[in-house]
Amino acid sequence: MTALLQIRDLTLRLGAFTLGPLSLEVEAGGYLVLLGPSGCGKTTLLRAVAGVHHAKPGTLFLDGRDVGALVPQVRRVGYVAQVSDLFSHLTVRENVAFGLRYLGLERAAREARLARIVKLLGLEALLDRSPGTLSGGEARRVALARSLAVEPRMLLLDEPLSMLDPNARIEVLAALRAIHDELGTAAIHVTHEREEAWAVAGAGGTGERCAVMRAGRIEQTGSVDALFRAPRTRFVAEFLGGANVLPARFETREGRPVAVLTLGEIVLAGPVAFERGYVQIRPESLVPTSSGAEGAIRSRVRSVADRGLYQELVAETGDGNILRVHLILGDRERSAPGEALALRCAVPPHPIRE
Amino acid sequence: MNADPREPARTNAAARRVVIGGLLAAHVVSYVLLAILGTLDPAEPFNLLLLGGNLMIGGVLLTRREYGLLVGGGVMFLIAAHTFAAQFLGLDDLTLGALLMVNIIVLYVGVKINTHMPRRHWYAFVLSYFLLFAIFLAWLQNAEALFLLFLLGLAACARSLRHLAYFWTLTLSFTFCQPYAWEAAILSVFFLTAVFRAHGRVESRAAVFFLAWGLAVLLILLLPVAAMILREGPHNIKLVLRQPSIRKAILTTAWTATVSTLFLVLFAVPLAYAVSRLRFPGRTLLLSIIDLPIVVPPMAAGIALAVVFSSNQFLGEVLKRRLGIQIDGTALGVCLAQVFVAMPFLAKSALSAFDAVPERLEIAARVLGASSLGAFRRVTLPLASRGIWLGAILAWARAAGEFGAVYILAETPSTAPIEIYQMFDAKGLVETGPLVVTLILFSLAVFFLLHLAMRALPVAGSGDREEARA
Repeated sequence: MTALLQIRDLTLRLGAFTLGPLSLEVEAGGYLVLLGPSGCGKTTLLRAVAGVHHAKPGTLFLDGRDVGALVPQVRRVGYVAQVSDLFSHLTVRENVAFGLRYLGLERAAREARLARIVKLLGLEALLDRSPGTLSGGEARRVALARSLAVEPRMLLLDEPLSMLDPNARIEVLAALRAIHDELGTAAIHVTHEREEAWAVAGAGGTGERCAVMRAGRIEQTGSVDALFRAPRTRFVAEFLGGANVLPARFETREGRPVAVLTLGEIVLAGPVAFERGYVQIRPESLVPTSSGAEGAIRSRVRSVADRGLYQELVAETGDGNILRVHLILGDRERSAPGEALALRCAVPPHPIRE
Repeated sequence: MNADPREPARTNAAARRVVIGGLLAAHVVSYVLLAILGTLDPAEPFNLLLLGGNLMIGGVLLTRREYGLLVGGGVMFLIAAHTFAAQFLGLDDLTLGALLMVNIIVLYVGVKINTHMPRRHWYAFVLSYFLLFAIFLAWLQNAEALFLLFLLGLAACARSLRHLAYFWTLTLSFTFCQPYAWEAAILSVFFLTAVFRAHGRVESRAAVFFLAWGLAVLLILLLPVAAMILREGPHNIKLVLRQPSIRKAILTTAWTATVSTLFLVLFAVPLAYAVSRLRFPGRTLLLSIIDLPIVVPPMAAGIALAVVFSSNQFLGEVLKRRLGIQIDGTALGVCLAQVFVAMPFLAKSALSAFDAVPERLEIAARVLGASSLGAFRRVTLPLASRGIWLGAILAWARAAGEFGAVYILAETPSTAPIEIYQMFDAKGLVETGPLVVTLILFSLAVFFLLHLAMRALPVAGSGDREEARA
C-alpha cells in the first residue's frame, strides 16, 4: 500500500531560500509532527503540499497521484495557517461552510456536514459571531472546522498551538484529539516547540511520527520517543534535548561500548559503528552519587534555580565542562552554589555521529 | 493652622456677618440721614445704584458666607475706582452703574475661581477679561452695552474651560467676522463640539489637538461656502432650479459622471487588483502613469484628448467616418474627459484597498476549493469593497466637477461646471450665486449619502485579534 502523501526529493527555490531536497511519507490516518527551528522551511513545505507553491513533476504524490503541478483548489487538503486567516466579512457559520459550495453537494448534505463539524469542534454557540470577536483558541477551532468541512484528504497544521494562552492550547489540543479520534484525518503538524511534539504525541494516539527539519532538509524521522532518546545528529540532540552535548571517542571495554569524554567514561546504550562523535548526557539522567564511586563525575555547583519538584543546576566539572543537571529533590538536601557534587549518568546515552 | 479648624471658622463667620451687616446698616442709615439733611439727592441713579449694589453684594455675602473680606474689599475698591474713573471718562451714570454692577459680578466669579478651581481656570479667566477689555478699547468704543453683555457672558461661562471656549468663539465671530457672524458662529460651535466630544480608544491629546488645528483651517475654507448657502434663500434656489437649461445641465452631470465611474469600476478596479498582486517589468512605470492625470492640468489633458479624438484629427475622423462615432461635442466626449481625469482616484484607492487584503486569505480560499476568480470574488473583493467604494465616490466627484478637460473636448452638452462658467461669464458674480449654492448642496447631499452607504461595507484585513497581536 502506498502512503497517502509521498514526497520524493522535493526541491523548491524561493528567492534566497532553498527547500529540500527532502523526502517524506505520511500514511493514511497518520500524524506527522514536523519539528524545526524558525525559518527552516516548515511553512514552505506545507504550502507546497497545499499547492500555494508548485512542485516539480514526480516529487509530490497524494493518494498515489502526482499533484505537484495542480492548483490548490483541486488538491483537497486542509490548511490551517499559523496566523488566523478567517474571512472577517463572513460569520463563523459562513466561514465554516465556505468550502462546501465547491463540492457540488445537495443542500441537505451540506447542512449535515456543517452540523457534524460544528458539533465535533463545539462551535454551536459561535456560529453567528464575527471572526473579529473570537478569542485566539476559538478562532483556531473555527479555522480547523473550516478546513475539515470539505473532508480533506489530509490536514496541514501550521503551528496550531502557537500564540495561544495555556487554556486555549488545551482547548485546541482537545479539538485536535477529537479530529484524530472521530475523523481519522491524516495530518502534518508543524511546530518549533518540542513540548508541543510531546503534547500531540499524547493526543494523536497511534501512528504519530516525528520529523526534525533543519535548513530546508529533513534531519531525522522516527517516533517521537525514538527521536528524543536516540537523536542521530548533534543538531537534533540540541534542538530536542537542549543541553550537555559533548564530543566523545567511542571504544569497547570488556565487551561493552563506552564513550570516552574529557570528564570520564560513560557506558553507552548500544554498540557503536564509528569512533568519534558526541554523546548527550540529558540533564535529568544525571543523579548524585558518592564522590568515591566508580565512574563518578566530580563537579562544583555554579548556579542553582529551584523549579519546585526539582532543582536546575549548572555544574562545572573538573576538566572545565559545563553540565546542566536536573535533580529531583525528594528527601535530598537542596544544593547550593559552590558545593561539590559527584554525579553519575543513570541512563546510558546513545552515540551521536555528527 | 488650628487643631480644629471648624470652631474658629464658625466664630470668624459670625464676626464677619456682624461686620458686613453693620456696614450695610451704616450705608442705609447714612443714605437716609444724608437724604434728610439734603446733601444727597436720593433720586440720583448713581446713588441708588450704589446702594442697591451694596445691598445685593452684602446679601450674597451674608447668605453664602464665603470670602467675604476678599469680595468686600474688592467691591469697595471697584466702587472707588469707578467713581474715580467716571470723573475722567465722562461716562453717564447709568452706564457707570451698570459697569460697576457687572464688574462686581465678575469680581465675585473671579474670587470663586481663584479659590475653588485649578490655576489654569484662573489664568484663563483673567486673560479673557483683559482680552475682552482690549477688544473693547480697540474696536468697540461706542458699544458699551455689547461690552457689558460680553462681560456678563464671560462671568457666566468662566466656570468651565469648555464654556469659555464656546464664549470666545461666539465673541470672536460677532466681533471680527461681523458680516458672516452667524455663519462663523454656527460653524465654530459645531466644530468646537466635535473637538470636545472627540475620543479615541487610546487617550491622545495630540490627536485632539490635530483635530482642532485641522478644523480651524477648515473653518476658514468653509466660511465662504457657508456664507453663500445662508445668504441665498430657498426662493432663489427654487428660481434657479426652474430654469430648464440648468436642470438639464445638472442631469447631464449626474448621468455622465455615473457612466464614467461605472466604466472606471469595470476597467480600473481589475487593473488595480492585477498591479497589487503581480510583479512584472514596468510595474513602477505603470504606477506613475496611473498618477499622471493628477499632475497634468485638466486643460492640457483636454487638449491632448482633443488632439487625438476631435473629429478633424486622424483617429477622430476615422471613428466618425467608419463607425459614426463622434467624440468632441457629445456626451461620449464628456465621459471620455471625465474618465481621464477621474481614473487615478479610483485606481489608487482600489490599489491600496487590495494591498490591505492579506494574501493569506486568498490562499485559504483557494485551498478550500475556490478558483482564483472565486477567491477574488468571494474574499478579496468584499474585503476591499470599502476602499473601492471610497475611490468610486472620489472618482464620481472628480468627474462631476471636471471643467477644464470637458470644456476643451466637449463643450456641449454642457455639464454643471460649464453652465456655471458660462453664467458667470455672461451675468457675473451675484447672478451665479444661487446656482453655485444649489450645486454645493446637491454635491454635499450625494457625498453624505455615499459615505453613509460605505459604513455597511466590511473592513479590510482579517480583523482578527491574533493578527493585532502578531
